[in-house]
Amino acid sequence: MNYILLIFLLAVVTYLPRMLPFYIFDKDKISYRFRKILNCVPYAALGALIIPGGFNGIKNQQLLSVAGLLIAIVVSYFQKNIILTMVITLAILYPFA
Amino acid sequence: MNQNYKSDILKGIKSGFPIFIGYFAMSVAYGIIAKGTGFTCFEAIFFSTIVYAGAGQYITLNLLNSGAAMGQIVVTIFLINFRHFLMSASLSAKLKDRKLLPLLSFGITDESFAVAYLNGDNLSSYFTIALNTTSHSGWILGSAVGFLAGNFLPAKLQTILTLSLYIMFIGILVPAVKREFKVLYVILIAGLINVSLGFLIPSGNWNLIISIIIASIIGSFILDIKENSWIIYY
Repeated sequence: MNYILLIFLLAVVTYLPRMLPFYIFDKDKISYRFRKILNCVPYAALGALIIPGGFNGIKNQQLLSVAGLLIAIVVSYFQKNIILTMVITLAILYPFA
Repeated sequence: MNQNYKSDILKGIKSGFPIFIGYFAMSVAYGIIAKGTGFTCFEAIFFSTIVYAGAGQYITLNLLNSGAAMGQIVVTIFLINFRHFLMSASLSAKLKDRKLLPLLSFGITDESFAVAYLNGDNLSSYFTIALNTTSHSGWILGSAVGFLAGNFLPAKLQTILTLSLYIMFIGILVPAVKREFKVLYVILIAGLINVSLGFLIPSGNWNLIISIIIASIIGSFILDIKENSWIIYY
């Protein structure tokens, strides 16, 4: 397979959906309801990505993945530095990998 | 006037730094897998540069490894990345100035969107572009390092690095839930719908986007827009 061609096609189908909304949806033209819906998108998107994707975050190791997610939740509850959360969580998981 | 732009850019870089680190970790794992899938170094890095879609790139590698055809992969990735359409729409509603939109929109990914969106009221294009570029460079750099040197990492670390994407998601969501508890409902509802669809339509490419849409609509009835509530401090 021509990987370069594949990559170009993927770039096109990825870029267009990212770009068009900025031209279609202007700040002043959307209704209050629609704004409320769009406001929920980050949470819905991340939620749908983690569940159930995160459960298999470490390939074929669901238990370890879920443990990692729970550790990350606890760590990020007490401190909000994302990098630190990552380092601590991976450090705790490491011996069990 | 120039001072405003400078401080926006600096803020963008600062906010993007955690994503830079997270993406670096994640893309090192991607680089290793890309090598294993038979990509050349150029192809692996090129992929990360012009497509720039973490989950999408991983899934592409998976599909290639299971022998999918080019058309299949393109359609699948289109659907999987389509959620960025919604994210761009959300950001567009919040953007106070509209500069360099083609460049800005290129860098919309899950994390950079979440950070940009939750950064407060007056969203500036300069901030967003700085944020996106910082994040993106982590992704490209890690891809290169992962491809070239990844195998030198201890095997155990290589295995668990792939979780870093989700750890980043959690790092963004937990503070948001702490600020506004009802956000948790939206997160869980989205996850629940996604899992349910996963049972009904196991290989559904639309599952993710449908989950996001339904959960967001439901969420619009649960949550109120008080712009101040969505601020995350780093």
